[in-house]
Amino acid sequence: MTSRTPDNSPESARTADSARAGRLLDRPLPPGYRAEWARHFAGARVQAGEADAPADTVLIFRLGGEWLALPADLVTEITEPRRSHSLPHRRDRLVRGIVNVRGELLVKIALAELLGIEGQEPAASQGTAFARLVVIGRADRRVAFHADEVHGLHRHGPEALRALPVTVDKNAARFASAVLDWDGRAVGRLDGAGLLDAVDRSLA
Amino acid sequence: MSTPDLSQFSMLDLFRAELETQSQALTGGLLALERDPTSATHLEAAMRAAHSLKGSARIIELMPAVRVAHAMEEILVAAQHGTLRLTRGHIDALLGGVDLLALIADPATEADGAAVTAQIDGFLAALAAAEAGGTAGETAELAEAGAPPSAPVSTVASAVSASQASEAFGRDLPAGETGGGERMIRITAQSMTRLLGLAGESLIEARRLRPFADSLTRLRRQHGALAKALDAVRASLPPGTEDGPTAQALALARGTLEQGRHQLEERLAELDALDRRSTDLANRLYGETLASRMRPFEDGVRAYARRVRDLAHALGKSARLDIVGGSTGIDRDILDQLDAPLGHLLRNAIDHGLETPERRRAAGKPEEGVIRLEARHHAGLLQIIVADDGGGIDLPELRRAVVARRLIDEAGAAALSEAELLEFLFLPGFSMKETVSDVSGRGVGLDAVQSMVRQVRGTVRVAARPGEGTSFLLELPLTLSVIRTLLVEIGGEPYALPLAGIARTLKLPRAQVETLEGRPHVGFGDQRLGLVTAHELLGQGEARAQGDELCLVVIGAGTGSYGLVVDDFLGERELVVRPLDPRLGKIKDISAAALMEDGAPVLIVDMDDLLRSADKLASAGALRGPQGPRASAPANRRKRVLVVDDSLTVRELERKLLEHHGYEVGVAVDGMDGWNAVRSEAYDLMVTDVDMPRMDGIELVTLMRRDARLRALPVMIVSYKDREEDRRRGLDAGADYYLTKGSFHDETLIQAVTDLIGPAAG
Repeated sequence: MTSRTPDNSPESARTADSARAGRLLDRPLPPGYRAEWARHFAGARVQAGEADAPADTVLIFRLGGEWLALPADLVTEITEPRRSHSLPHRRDRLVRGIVNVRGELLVKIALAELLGIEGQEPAASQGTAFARLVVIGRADRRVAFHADEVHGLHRHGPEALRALPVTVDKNAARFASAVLDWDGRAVGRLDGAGLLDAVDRSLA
Repeated sequence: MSTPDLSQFSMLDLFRAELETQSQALTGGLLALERDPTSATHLEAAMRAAHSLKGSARIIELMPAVRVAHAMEEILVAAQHGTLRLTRGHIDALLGGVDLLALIADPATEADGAAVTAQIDGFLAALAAAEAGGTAGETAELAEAGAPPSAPVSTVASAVSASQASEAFGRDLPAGETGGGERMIRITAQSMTRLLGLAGESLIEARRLRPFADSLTRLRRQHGALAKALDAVRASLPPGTEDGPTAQALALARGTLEQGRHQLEERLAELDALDRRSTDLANRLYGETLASRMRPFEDGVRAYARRVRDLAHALGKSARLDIVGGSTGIDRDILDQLDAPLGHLLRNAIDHGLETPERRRAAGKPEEGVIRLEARHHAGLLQIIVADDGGGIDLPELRRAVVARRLIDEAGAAALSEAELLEFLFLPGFSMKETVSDVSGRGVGLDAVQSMVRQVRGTVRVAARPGEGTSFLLELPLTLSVIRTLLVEIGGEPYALPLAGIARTLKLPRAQVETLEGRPHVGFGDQRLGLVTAHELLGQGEARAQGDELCLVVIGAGTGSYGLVVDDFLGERELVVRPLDPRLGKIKDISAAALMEDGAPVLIVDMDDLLRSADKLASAGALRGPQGPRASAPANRRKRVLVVDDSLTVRELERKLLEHHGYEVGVAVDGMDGWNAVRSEAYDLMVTDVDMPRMDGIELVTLMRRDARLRALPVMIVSYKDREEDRRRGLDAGADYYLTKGSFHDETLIQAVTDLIGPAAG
């Protein structure tokens, strides 16, 4: 409360608060404040100008304990998970069945299986994570997979990409093409065309 | 066109078909010329179209059309020679000419000859006016354009048109031509599928409104209960406090609640209306989308008229085709698949059915035979009749043929009814003709027709009247896209069994199941029905062991029937058939998929496949029935090796070597084949080549190393490549052993195999 009159009625407290708020907002700017912001905005501008190479948009999602990114132009739909129907006589663990997306029956695959991601416990994620069904591919070569969490689209320049760790790079059958810095995490950026080709092959 | 006989009609049909294409070219050219009046290519295209139309019109003696086309051609030729510059007025008049041609070709306007002539005169006048508006000095041209069409049509022109005409006859006429019906448009199969998907989805979404409205109705009931509770509270207030603050607060609450109830009531009524409207709309949309798969019958069969005529001539007969019910709608898929069987039946009718002209004359019939091709909808089925007015089928002769071919003894043949006797015509290899002709009589006709008709889930019957003709009746489903099925539950998931493949369904007390040699069976009529679980056939989980009753679907016929055990009957459904992703290939026992009312996917079982699977399992002695797995475990199993190599020699060499040492060997012809094999069967070791089509050995090994179950399976690479980096590459991918074919000795291979997995007998 204020140091002036010991008045405890709610009415007068509100007046005092708004007066204080007014004083706070009307206070003179500290020295150098304007210059600091001017530098900030000017700097951002310069950085954007530097990134001459076209920025890339990716979809960032999580499978088990791994965060991954796929080129956004490959993603046709992100929707709630829904009931799928398994296919008889399919012994591979990749094809999980068929699923109805907007009245079309799509093959649902376990992408984690293709990428060799073990069923690790998800790294404790902040807040509530919603599982999603992601549809990727082009025209009649589409396929759906289950993602444990979808962050959304992320735009990045080439400067955000790092080389793969050598253990991944040496793997002849890798799908990751680079590691992407995102929000303090290392996200595996997947090679979309290679992934789709592998999916096509494994469906046969 | 004063004598409207049938041949004239079909010629007019032809002209209309040509007009449809040519007027498109003409209109396109004219529109382009409006922007660029001197473009040589467009002038050429438009002139050519007008010229062709003039030629065609002359062939069928459609003189008004000749006049119009001629006038149009004259203008265009003049423009081509540069003696005339096309103006907007010219283009307007010429476009009017295109419309006029369509009008002339329309059979409806035929009767009204005077009106058409007036219109033509109007057109020519308009053309003249456009001419006058242009530069001077072309009046001579104009006069000629307006003159009666006395100019001889060049022979080249008529020849071109005639060949174009026959082309149009031979090929499937464009969908835009329906013989006087509505205009048709083409649409890709993919967008049709998508349209159907979206329409189905909107129906499913619309159906969700009803449960939602019901849940609101429950909310309304709760409001009612709340109001009652408030009234009870008020009634229990102590006397004298009816006007106190409690009572006032209660009255306020009661009032607010009443308002809430009222609003809810209104919203519910709105929701009800919305539900009705959107469900109705979605239903119509869905129905219309399904119906748009229909094509008029005539579209698919018009080309037969010419074939019938030509074939009859080739056989020294005379025949014409009479198409009845040409506008009857038929599913595109069925129409496509009917082509072969109908062709067969028509050939049969001409060759077997129709008599020679001499015989027909002797029998007092017209020389020209008539073959009627009729389509109609009847009791939810499509009926197609192929009937000839020939001599019918000689039943005594058929009886003799049946006996002569030892299909039945004489006494049996004598006892056969007419219908039963005619059934023999559908037996494979059966023919009544003594001589094999070019056309038919090889005895491969009717059985092929029957099997093709069955493929579209239809039936075919034959009827004959001596001296009056033979008729074949094909009964087909109206559409292939809708199928009637029994929905069952197998391993916790729904499957749809087409009703056509089900003999009957029954529920039996589990106690009635008996076993023989460990195989369960139940009494069914006077036979013992062997049981097989759907789970085992489909490789999907285990049948439910609890419950007092078994749900059985009887499939197959006679002694070859099986009692298919399913978990539950979910009811009968009409499903819209949806193809599965073609990349999956043919899935054993499954024909297609569909969506249920709630949008969940369901698989449609391929009943023929399922029967074969049951036969295969039964003969392999692998059937377990509903009792659960047999207790015996395979003792002393031999070690199994999969050999993957695209070279037959290497593959066989390796196989013989390994088998010689007691291993059981499976083979695969390339990496893809190997990948499939290794996933579907259990192996102890894989021996693979590197360079193979479809999928090479390195990729195969890499895939296996990524698969949780196959990760531990030992892999040996055998390759011609003996460089160190090739070896390194193979081992890097995850192979356990790298052997070069150059050093290919049996000891080396067998030694390596033994090192990896031990001797054959475990």
